[in-house]
Amino acid sequence: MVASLGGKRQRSILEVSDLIIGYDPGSGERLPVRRAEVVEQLQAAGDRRAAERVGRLPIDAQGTLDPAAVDELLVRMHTQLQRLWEELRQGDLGVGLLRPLLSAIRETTPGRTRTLRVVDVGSGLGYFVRWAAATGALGPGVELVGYELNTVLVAEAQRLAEAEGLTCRFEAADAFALPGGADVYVSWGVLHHLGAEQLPAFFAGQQAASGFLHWDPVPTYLAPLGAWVFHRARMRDPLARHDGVRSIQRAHADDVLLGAASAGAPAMATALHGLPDRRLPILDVIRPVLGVRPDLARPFRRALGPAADRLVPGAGEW
Amino acid sequence: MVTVLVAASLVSLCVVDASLTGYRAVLGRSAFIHRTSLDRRAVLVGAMAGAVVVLALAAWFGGLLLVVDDGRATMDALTAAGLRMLAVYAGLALTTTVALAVAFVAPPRWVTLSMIAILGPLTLLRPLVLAAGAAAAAASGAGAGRVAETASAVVVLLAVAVETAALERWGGRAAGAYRPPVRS
Repeated sequence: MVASLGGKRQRSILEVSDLIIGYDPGSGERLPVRRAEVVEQLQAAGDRRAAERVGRLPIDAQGTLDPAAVDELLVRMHTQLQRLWEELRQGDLGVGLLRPLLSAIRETTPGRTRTLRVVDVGSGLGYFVRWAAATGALGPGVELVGYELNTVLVAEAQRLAEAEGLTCRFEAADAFALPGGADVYVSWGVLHHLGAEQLPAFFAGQQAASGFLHWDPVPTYLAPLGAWVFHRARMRDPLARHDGVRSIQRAHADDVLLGAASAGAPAMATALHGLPDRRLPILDVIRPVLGVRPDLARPFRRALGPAADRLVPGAGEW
Repeated sequence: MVTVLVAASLVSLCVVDASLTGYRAVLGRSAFIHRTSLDRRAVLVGAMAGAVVVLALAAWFGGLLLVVDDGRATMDALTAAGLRMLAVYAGLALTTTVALAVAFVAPPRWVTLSMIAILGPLTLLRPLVLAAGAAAAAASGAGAGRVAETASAVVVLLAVAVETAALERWGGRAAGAYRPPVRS
C-alpha cells in the first residue's frame, strides 16, 4: 500500500534556486531574471522572508539579477547540499540498487559486453556521478554522464571531476535527447521540482532506456521538522536552508510518483523501493521510484537479494 | 585528586569538541570527493585551537588563584563547579560518541537516523548545552567562591565562542584553497 500525502500544496511552495535563474527551453540560452519579479512571486506565495533575502541580491541598472552573483550563490548552495548527500550516504544508496540493475541488464543480454551508460538527470554538481567514478563502485564497463541545464553547475562539476582525474563527464543539455540514449537514468532530488502534471512526460522520455531510478524526499509527517533541523544544522546559507526545507514540503506522495511513472512509461514495470517504516519514518528520508523493462523485472528482483523485500510494485509483473 | 580528574576530563572534552568544530568548519565548503587530507587537517587545527583555549583558561585559573585571598577554598569551589559542568557535558559527549559510532559502522538507513535525529540536532543544541554547563558551574556557592565560579564560567564560554568563530573563518579559507590529489 502506498501513502497519499501532500500533493496539492506542491505548486504554491517555491524554491529560490528555481526562480533566480532562467533558460530558454529551446536554445538553452540563459535569460535575464528581474529581481522584482522573483520577489513578487515569493510574496504572492506568502514567503515573505525568502522575498526579503532575494531582495538583497545584487542587480544591475535594469533591475536584472547579477548573473555572477547568482552563479556564485548557486554553486555555494549546491556545495552545501552535497554535504547533506554525503551524510545521507547517497553513493551507497544509489549503488545498492544500480549494481543489481546493471547486473540484471547484463544477465538478460548474454554475450553483451558493451559499456552501459548511466545518466544522472539534473546532476547539479554531479556528486553521485563523481563519487561513483572515484570509487569505482559500479564496476567496470559503466559510462557515467551527468546532464544539467544550468551551465554554471555543469562547468563546476566538470572542473571538480577534472581536478580529481575522474572518468566521467557533464554536459548542459536535455538528458532525454541524447544521441544513443542511456541504459539507466537516475536523478536525486529532481522530481519535486516538477509539478505532478509534468511527471508523466518526464517518465515518458525514458521509455527507451532499460531502467530508471529517481530518488526524492519522502513526505512523512516527521519530514518537515526533520528537514528544518537538518538543514538548519548543516547549511550555512539561509537560502540553501530555505530551499532544503521547501524541497521536503514539495515532495510528491508515493501514489503520485508511482501513478506518474506507470502512466508516463506504460511499457515498463514500475515500483517504489523502501516505503518508510511507519514506526520510525525518519529512517527513510529519500526513496526512489523506479522502472525497468518488463523482461528485467524478475532478474532485477533476484539480483537485489534481501533488498527486494522493500520493493513496492506498481505496474507490470514483478 | 578530584580536582585533577575534573580538570583532565574538561580539558579532554575541550580538545575533542574543538577537533569536531574544526571538522565541521570545512564541511560543506569543498565539493571534491577526496577530502581526507583537508578533513584530517581540520581535525588537527581544531585540536590545536582547543589546546590554545586550554592554555588560555589555565592562565586565567592560575591568575585567579593568585589574586584571591583563600586559594584553597576557591580551588574547592572551582572543582565543584567543574564537576557540575562536567555532569551537563557528559550527556552531550556520550550521545555524540554513540551517534558517531553508528554513523561510521551502521547501514545507510541507521546512518540517516543518527545524522538527522541525533547529530544534526546536537549541532544546533551545542551552544545551548555549552551555556547550560556554564550556568550549572555558576549556579551555587556564595561570596568569593561564587564570584570566581561565575567569572570563570563566562570566561570559558567566551573562549569557546572565540575558538568556534576562529575555526569557522579558518575553515572557509582552508577549504577554498584545498586542491585534491589527482588520481591516475
